[in-house]
Amino acid sequence: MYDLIKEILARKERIGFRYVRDGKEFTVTYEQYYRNICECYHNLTERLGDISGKHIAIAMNNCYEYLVTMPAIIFGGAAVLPVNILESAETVSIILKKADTCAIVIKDEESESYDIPNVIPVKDICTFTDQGDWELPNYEENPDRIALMIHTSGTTGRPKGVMELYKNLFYRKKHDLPKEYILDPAKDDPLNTILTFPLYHQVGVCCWLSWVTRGCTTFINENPGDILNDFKNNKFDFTLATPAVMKLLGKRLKRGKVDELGGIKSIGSAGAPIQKDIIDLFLENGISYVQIYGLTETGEITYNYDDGDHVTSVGLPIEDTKVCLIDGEICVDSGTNCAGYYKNEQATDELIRDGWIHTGDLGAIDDEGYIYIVGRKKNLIILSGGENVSPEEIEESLYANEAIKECRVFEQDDKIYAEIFANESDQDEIRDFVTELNKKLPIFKRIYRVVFSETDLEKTAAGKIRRKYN
Amino acid sequence: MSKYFDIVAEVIEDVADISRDEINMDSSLMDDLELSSLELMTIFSDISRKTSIPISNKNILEFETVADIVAVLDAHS
Repeated sequence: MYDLIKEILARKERIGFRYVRDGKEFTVTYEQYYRNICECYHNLTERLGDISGKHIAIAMNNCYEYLVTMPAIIFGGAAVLPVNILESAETVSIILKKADTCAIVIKDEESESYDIPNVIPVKDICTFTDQGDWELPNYEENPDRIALMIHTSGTTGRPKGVMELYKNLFYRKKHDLPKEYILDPAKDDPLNTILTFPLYHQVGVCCWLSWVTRGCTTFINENPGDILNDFKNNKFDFTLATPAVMKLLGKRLKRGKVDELGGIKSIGSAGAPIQKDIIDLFLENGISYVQIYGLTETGEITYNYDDGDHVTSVGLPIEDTKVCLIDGEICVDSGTNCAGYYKNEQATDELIRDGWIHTGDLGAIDDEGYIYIVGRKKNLIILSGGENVSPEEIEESLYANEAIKECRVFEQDDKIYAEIFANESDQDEIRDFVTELNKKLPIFKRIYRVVFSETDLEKTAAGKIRRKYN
Repeated sequence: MSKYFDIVAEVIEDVADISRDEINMDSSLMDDLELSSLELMTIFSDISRKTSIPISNKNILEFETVADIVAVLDAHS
């Protein structure tokens, strides 16, 4: 295990974070960051008492206060539950109650209202007065406790809480870095990064851990709509992005505006598959590319910095990670593997078998050990923004309309489609139903288009609706 | 034609790399222009900066066409 707090303390006066708010720029040194974390932990205990073993959620956009609250919770002995704020407050409350969440930290009183016992506006704990001499408790006392619990659909179905124990989360230093920093673990040249990955996503958390561990100066993008503007007005060396963000930046390159990318020398992608033509745009402009593959359930599995012959591979297993194929499925044995799904023994038993986590991804391994994703065994849609969407979840919502006899939800061109078999006379009513359903769904789960089938949907030999993978 | 149409079209062209000829008042943001939600958020931010008129991301999917964006800008001024 490594000690993130020690890494923070070692950086002292180096600038750890930068952000812009209401036109004003803020900078925070690593020394100040540590003091802010301690003060936040103190404020949490004033509010909630001893937080050891408790589950505390965070529901905010990325911001400096998020990056203070998260370690205050983790190193305060509790488990942090980052929440996807695109989900409705109702859905989030149901998920968090099942996860025995005792408190939720929100941006302000105007945020969504969650049905959780303690709703805490972040300004109440991120007071940043610097008027006390607070310390963290002995956070390594129990490495088998849950430190992070992100909810994911896993291979299928309803969101499940992935239990990342302290010893899994800090088992090894994360790899969200350019290849020079991976090949030379002692390299300590200041690296300017920008955080665009949402912190409710495993990759966002890994970016935070990677960059703080290596003493980077991280610019925090607080509004996804400002990503291009942030790149234009700042200097960056590296970032890790979703394929959706890479596509957005790629369009700057297509328009000959490489000078609007902050002078970035290297970029990485994670969270979803990426098209080669997007990678090529960066390579053609002298920006090197890395790719990281992993799941919420496994942490980082592979890292690829070979943007030549193996550019379409997700790379080689990281350090002592073991990867094998079982019936074509990528399976992982790693110290970063999660302990299973919270209070869901059945799903855990399907995930972890004989010590191997079954990823649900189909793969191939070449002679040099490079791993390629060739398909998906699991019924899960992964969109270019890194969002995981369970088709079954949306189909269940569709079946609430009795006029829908059969349906199949699938992804096409990075959008959600629904193929529906129903009486022709019911089609208009179903379209209206879908319009109303979409209003209740978070933006990334909304059905973009309904396609009506004239016959019942194709079935497998077992009589289930056949899922066709594009 | 609203004075804001040119600004909106210019921003869409720049952010999404779409030819200006393809952008009309009745262009559907998702169906005709195939804009992603991230592109839409970026476009709204850029338009807000250029016009000093705030456009919220909260109701992003209520904007169906270019005309819908122009209408919000016109209403504000």
